[in-house]
Amino acid sequence: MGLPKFEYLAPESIAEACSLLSQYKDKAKVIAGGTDLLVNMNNRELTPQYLIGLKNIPDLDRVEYDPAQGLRIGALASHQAVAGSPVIRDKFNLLADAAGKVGTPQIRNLGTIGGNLCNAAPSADTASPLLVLGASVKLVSVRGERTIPLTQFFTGALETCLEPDELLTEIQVPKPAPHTRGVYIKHCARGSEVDITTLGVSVLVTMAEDNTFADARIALATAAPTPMRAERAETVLIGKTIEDSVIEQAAQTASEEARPRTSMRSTAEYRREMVKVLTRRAIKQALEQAG
Amino acid sequence: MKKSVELKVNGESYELAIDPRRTLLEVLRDGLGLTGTKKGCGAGDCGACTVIMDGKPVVSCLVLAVEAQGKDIMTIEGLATDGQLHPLQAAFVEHGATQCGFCTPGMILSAKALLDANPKPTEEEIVQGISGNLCRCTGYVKIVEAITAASQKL
Repeated sequence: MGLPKFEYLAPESIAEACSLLSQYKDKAKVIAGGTDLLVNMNNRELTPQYLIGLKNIPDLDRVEYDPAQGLRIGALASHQAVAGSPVIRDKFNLLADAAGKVGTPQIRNLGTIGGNLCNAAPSADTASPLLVLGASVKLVSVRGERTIPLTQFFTGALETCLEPDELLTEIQVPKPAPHTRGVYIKHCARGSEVDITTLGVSVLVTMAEDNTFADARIALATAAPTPMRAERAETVLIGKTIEDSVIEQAAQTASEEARPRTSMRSTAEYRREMVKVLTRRAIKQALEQAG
Repeated sequence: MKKSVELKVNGESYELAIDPRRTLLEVLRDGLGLTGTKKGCGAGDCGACTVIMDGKPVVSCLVLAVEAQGKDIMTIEGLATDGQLHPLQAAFVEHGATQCGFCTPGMILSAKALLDANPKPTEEEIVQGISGNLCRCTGYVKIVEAITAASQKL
């Protein structure tokens, strides 16, 4: 059957892409890596009249870091580029790990970190690491630009606050505080990590000199309609002594905070239990990394 | 409306007029007659359509042909040189890593991309490297053995 008919447009700048989006709005879709879009077009779930290709726009896939601005990842950076980036592996290791676990090598070479976030699956592997890292996204249109925290980006299952004429151009990640370590655990029901994540947990902890949690962030994937921060669980840790009973309480709280559902891959009950197990495990692994 | 596209495949340049909705897989098979690349699931999950694009393995069923403009593409047909099988191809034959053969072109190209980036991979790294290529026949053991053997020859 093949793809449905569409007209292909190839803007050469962000401004041109935004202008086209403003002109065609809901009749157009942007195409980044195409690994979600083309699948949806093949099964006729989406039939845009226009595809706005982003690959000719220079520098949209750049990965840049400086200590003042932090990390800036262009929306078109492939998951493989994120996974292999020396600066991301060094300073934002959980993000590199997560990007390296998206799908298969072939999909990681095509699929982009920006496109994946805009697809807004609750199971998105890079979402929970970016949430605990305090990432923001830059959204651009002919009307201007806005930068919003990723915590505000996901508004529902497969939904974001992106307007029809807006383009996500960049993901910004601040430099983590000293003595901060993070872990992402991707749990797949059948043990094969090429699958869509059954339950994901990201943890970022900052250790204080007096053996307390100076800061702690926990985020969950496939535990709610959107990737989510487990903020009540975080407050269980912050300022408290690093010890098993505190960690256990945080894991339990995260489990209660989660809003999992039963789906093809797993049940709500199993997911809720695994939030507890994996939050506990991730906190301990993060602490081991620091020590 | 068809677009004029230059595709570089296995070292040769082809000027084609391509409908934007054609995938790279369709153009390789139907436009260029290079039927070594196979269509499996058509959704990027099975890896049968794997080609190497600018040195990286990709699923050609999810690449728009118009977006392959200017990229260096290698298909299975580009592996043998002067009629001589590439060590990977020879190893697959020697080790019985091919049964029906349908996954084989994609599997070999994923292996080639792996060995180009990592010439002496561990078994775990080989398994990761071919994790995007499904095989219904062999159970993968002989495929991993063949890739290991080829890595020792290369």
